[in-house]
Amino acid sequence: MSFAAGFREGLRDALPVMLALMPLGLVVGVAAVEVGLPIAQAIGMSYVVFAGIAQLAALQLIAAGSPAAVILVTTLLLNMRFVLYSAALAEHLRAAPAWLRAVMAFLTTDQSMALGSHRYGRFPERGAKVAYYLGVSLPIGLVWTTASTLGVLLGGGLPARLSLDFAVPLVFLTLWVVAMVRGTSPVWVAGAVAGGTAVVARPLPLNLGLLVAAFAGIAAGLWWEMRRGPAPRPGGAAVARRGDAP
Amino acid sequence: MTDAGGWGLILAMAAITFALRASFIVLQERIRLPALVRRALVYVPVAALAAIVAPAFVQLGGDVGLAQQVPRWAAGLVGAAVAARTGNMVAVLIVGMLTLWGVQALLG
Repeated sequence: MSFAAGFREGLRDALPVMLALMPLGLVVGVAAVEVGLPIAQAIGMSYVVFAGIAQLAALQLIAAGSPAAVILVTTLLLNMRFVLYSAALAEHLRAAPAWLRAVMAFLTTDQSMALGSHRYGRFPERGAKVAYYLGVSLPIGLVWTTASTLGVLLGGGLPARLSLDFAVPLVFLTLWVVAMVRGTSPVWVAGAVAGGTAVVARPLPLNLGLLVAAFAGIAAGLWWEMRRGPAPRPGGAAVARRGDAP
Repeated sequence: MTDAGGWGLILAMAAITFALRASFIVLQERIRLPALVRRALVYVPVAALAAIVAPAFVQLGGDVGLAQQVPRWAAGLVGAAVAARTGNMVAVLIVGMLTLWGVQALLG
């Protein structure tokens, strides 16, 4: 598969995600202005941090007058999942030179990870995986930064009663349901335990509930897998799931 | 917060976030993963997604009233059904948002 074809395929898969990200980008931009960040910082944050959930959390903490240390630890905790994503994607993106891997690492998001894990089973060649990943993640990055810039410029002008920010949980819901539907029984266990734990652990400080729940789900999935018998596939195909084969 | 302090915070957030993302993608085999961790990676996406999704729809106790929760539950259930049947994100977004607005309007 040519680079252009892989890129196009990624772009096509990213389109719905791009649509869905616009409201969240707008919300983050508006929030940054409302918290009182100067325009340049409000815009710049989305370009250099590029992590919506952590940005929203940081803005809330800034509004509450939290010290920088708390904001940075929260950023670390909320973004710890990127280490796991990075590990899962590393092998697939190995074909690229170091500078391009750095660019792709910067562009890693929940969405690009989800789309990657959704589709990588279909790309046997490493070069095609890199093209596909860039096709997914570059447009997502572009939409994110553009939407949040628009949010900053619009300020508080968007009608809150449209609840456009609800598009964000709907996106994650879709990705989760699809992962569950395609998954094997340890995947169902992991998804169910993580979800249940997240609901119960939500009152934990610093948004720790998210991390606790994710690790509980992962542990439960592993436990179920070992209980059930042999591992499905060795680590190399870590994110390739049943149903991805062409 | 001062202007310089604000930029300092933003850049520190950016550095932390990039280091986490770059870990394995940039350094590759220079970081070794134990076999157990490699097997655990299969469950990372579904567990992280569930941990993000569930609290957005189900909030026990606390400060959120039923009038705010019910439209989200309805939209979540309808959206999940559409997602399971079609796997089509745009369809889920359209149906989900329409359900949210519809139930909000019904509850006045």
